[in-house]
Amino acid sequence: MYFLKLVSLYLVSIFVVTSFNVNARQEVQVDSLMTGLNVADSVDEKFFFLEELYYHWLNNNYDSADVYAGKYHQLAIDEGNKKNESIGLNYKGIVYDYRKDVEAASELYNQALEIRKELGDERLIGNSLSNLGALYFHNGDYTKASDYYFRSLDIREKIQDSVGLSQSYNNLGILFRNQNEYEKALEYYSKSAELKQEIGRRYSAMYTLLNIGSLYIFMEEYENAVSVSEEALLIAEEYQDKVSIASLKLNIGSAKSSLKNYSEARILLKQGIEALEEMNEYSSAFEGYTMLITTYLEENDISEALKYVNEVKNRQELFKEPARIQEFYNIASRVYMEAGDYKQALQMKLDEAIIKDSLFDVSSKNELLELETKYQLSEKDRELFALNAENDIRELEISRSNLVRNFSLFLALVLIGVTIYGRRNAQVRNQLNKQLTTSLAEKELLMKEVHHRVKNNLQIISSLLNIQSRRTEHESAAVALQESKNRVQSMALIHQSLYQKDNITNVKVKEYIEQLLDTLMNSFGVEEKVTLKTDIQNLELEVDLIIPLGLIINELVTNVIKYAFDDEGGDLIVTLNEFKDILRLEVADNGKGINSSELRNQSFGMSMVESLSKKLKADLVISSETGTSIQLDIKDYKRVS
Amino acid sequence: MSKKRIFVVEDEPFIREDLVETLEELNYEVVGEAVSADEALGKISEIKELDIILLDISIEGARDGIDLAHQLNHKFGVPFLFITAFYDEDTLERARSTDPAGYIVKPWDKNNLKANIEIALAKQIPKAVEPQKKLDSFFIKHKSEMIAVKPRDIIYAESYDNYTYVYTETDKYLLSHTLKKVEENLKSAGFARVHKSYLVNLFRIDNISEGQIFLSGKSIPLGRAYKKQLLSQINYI
Repeated sequence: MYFLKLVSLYLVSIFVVTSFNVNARQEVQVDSLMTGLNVADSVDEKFFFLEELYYHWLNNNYDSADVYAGKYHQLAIDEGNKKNESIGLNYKGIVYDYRKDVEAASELYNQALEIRKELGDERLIGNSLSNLGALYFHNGDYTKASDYYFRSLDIREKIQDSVGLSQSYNNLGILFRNQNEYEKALEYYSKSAELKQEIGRRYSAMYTLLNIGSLYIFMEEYENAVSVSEEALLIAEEYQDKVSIASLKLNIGSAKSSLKNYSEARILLKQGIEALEEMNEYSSAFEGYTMLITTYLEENDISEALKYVNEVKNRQELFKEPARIQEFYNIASRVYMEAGDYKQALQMKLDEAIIKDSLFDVSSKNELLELETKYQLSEKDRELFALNAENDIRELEISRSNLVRNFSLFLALVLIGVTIYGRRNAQVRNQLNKQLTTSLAEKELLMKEVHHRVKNNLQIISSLLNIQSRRTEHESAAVALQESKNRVQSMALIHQSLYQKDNITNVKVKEYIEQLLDTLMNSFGVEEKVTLKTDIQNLELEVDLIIPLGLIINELVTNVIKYAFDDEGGDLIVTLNEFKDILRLEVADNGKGINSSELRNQSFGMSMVESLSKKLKADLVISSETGTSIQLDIKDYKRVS
Repeated sequence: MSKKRIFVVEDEPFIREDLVETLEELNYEVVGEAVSADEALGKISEIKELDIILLDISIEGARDGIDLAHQLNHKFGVPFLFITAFYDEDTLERARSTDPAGYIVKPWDKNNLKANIEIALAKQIPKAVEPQKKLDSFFIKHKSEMIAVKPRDIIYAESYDNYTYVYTETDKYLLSHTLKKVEENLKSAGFARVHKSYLVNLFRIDNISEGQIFLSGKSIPLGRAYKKQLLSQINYI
């Protein structure tokens, strides 16, 4: 059961290599390709370098691959080269396929197909159909996938396109394997491998043989799996493809393990793991470890199995892919169970459940419940055993492993266990609490990362506004840009104070508002002219409230600084206080005053204040007796005490 | 006085452009720019006179700004300021190990940028003249013994009614003087009031932001009334 999962992973990764007929390419330096592109004399050379750059980036960075596909396409249009135009579209299609944008990819593939039909180039039409098939396969639409694959196959058979045919066979093999039709899958794989060998594409044949080997493991025909994989291994060694060599060793090792040839299995698995680790292929190495642990488990060498479980656990940060970690937890849990360490076994199951939960897998919860019961029951077992010394240990062991199926016993024990259930439950809850603490810590780390990015982006926005304001000749436009910059800054300040504190969702209002006022006074250079007086209560408020509140203060204070005073200046008073369940903000000045309807109509800033107040469900009162006073009562707010 | 010469390492193009223009507005001379550690090392090695480097922490390439800082220390000995959106403890801890002249926190504004650069430049001077050495150690009564404390070992002082707490890297002493009295004694050694209750050693400042000063990993409030005076004082030390 366990090996089956591993094999499917290999197939998916192999599929990427074969379905688009991308040959293994030498590691090419991008620099030299760029240079080549720049000095290329002929159009053909340009196409060549663009193609190489495209393939290079396709493995590394889709955006860049997209750019070079686009350049290739444009060059073809400029040159009136229809064939290459379709190839360019195809290249772009592959990028969107990899990005899982089915609609865009299918649109591009179909555009390429139309051009190819006009040209009447059947070989290329076959390729387009094959790509469309692969696209639908990637997205799980197997009916459409097989339709396109067979249409492609028909054309390729008609024109005897051996390269294309060998690819079609391989893709169909993968398709059938995915639908659990192993016999058909084997038939197509074999055709593909034979044809590839026949036309001298030995390297490509190696991948198909690797697929066949995996399929045999899936079909539990381990001897066949070994012989096919060994054939592939010879070719891989000939081409010195280290990753394939190591992967094949893992496959052969796992097959030998199933054939109970444990010593050979161990050697191969260890060799594979070592090689993969050397190449920093940690996720594959991780699979290898899981296979190795399984082997020790089968051999009943629990101490070695435990040793590797601990080694992997210690280095978990290297192994990042959840799907594989989940498998590891599963096997590790079995190892701990065999070792009688039910607590750790449960822990592993909990870890697995957390990962599975994130994959919305319900079945793991049932498994978890089962194990939790077993854990509780095993404790109960021990108590029973201590009470009744005449009981045979073996019998207890057997009953324990069969407990879940043995429902009546299960029920009986649960009833007996009612009194101790509370205690056990607390233990389990403790475990869960520990998990929660860890995942909370991770969340906090993520929050910090997000804050960092937000701040960086706010800096970019602020810089853009600055740059544009410098380049603007009209004074009023430059001022408007600076005001927008202040708005950005008022939000940035919030993130600053959030991020320095352990508390990551609340803001200390007094600190924040005083900083904000400082920044504003500074940015208008009015420290001499305007005397700032504040009375701000020491409150902690949620981010959702403080962001609009900060923007409102920003606008109101900007208004005062800009319009309230004559040359001799005056006082600016900002207060924020809590009265019963009302939070009251007041921004006032002793300046020349303004008619309130005039103020409302006056500026963009004021209309921002009005819509923000609406958002906060706050009442806005403007009065103008001595100077202007604007009062905002927020009734419905959540204070964090 | 000739313009101070600054090198900028920042990979985000708009931020870099704005930074350079702002620095020029502030009357500094930007003598070079880079987006990665490699580019920075190459360019800096060819610049003859350089007063300070502004260093973004997350930059292009495998090595970040902190790695680059280690190499700068190793190869050039030019002071540098980190300019970064990070301000969490772990990153600060890593950054501190490079002994930077200070930090500028993104998003910066013109005033803070200037204040932090000036502080960083001012801190460099004592390496040549050591004005703090001129002032002798003074004695503090501590648990029935007298202890000699050098002004440069003091990070900051905090008023406590009619007494004053004096903080060094390792200890905390209580002086039976008011903060005002302590200020009079230490002013010439490069100390300044930043708040009603706080006096700080200017040479220990890592970062000045709106309303706060960071010194050797501690945050101290910066009173509005004191900020302006502080900034002018920086120019004179």
